[in-house]
Amino acid sequence: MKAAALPSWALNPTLHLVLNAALVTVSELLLKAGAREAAAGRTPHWLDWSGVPALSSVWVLAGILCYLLSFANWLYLLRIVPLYIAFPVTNLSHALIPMGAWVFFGERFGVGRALGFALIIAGTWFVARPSARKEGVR
Amino acid sequence: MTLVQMILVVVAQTAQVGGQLLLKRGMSGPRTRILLVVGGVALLTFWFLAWLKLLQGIDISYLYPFEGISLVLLVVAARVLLREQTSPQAWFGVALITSGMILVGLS
Repeated sequence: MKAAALPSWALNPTLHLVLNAALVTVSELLLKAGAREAAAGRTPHWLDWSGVPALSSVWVLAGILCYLLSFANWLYLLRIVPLYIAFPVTNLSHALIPMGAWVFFGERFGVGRALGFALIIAGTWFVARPSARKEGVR
Repeated sequence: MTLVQMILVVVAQTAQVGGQLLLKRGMSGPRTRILLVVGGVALLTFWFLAWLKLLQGIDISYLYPFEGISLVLLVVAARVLLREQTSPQAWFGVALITSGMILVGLS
């Protein structure tokens, strides 16, 4: 894929930082959904005709796909964003994963944890906001 | 946490930081340096396996603060070894993230 063939907004560093935090979080939640399903011993009915259930679970496959995408996205990020910005942003998942688990799986957390998540999100904002600039896209 | 686990935590987090530094060096510059990328992936794979091993023996709450510490280590290394221009605002953000992780670990 030639970078020059993409529109300029698709190469925007901030977009890719957000995309990375999202992909890492979604991948983990999909894997969790797959693990829950495996524990319950069922796969979605609409896939029974195919061989997909034999590959354990669509959730797990989707989780692995998101994980691979997040790694490709990470390599691209390292090309265009300083490491000291990119790494804290990928650490956002430490707050986003438990929050997603609360929304989708009803996992609970206390006030102390909620405060910790807020600190992580606020800190990431301070690291990334002023300096999410291109190092030079090639 | 036993002494062996403590050593494994330090080794694992050092490998994670080293792996990210190698990946960054491999990806920046006019052309991709594939050996550095492969080396980075190898170190990160080691970190992943070591972390799995640690998670088998230790509650994730106790490991969380070490994730915060490796973040500080990484930003220091990015500044010293990669000569990235870190702003005071970025250091403030890193301090917030690390205290957030310690708080999550404690609660």
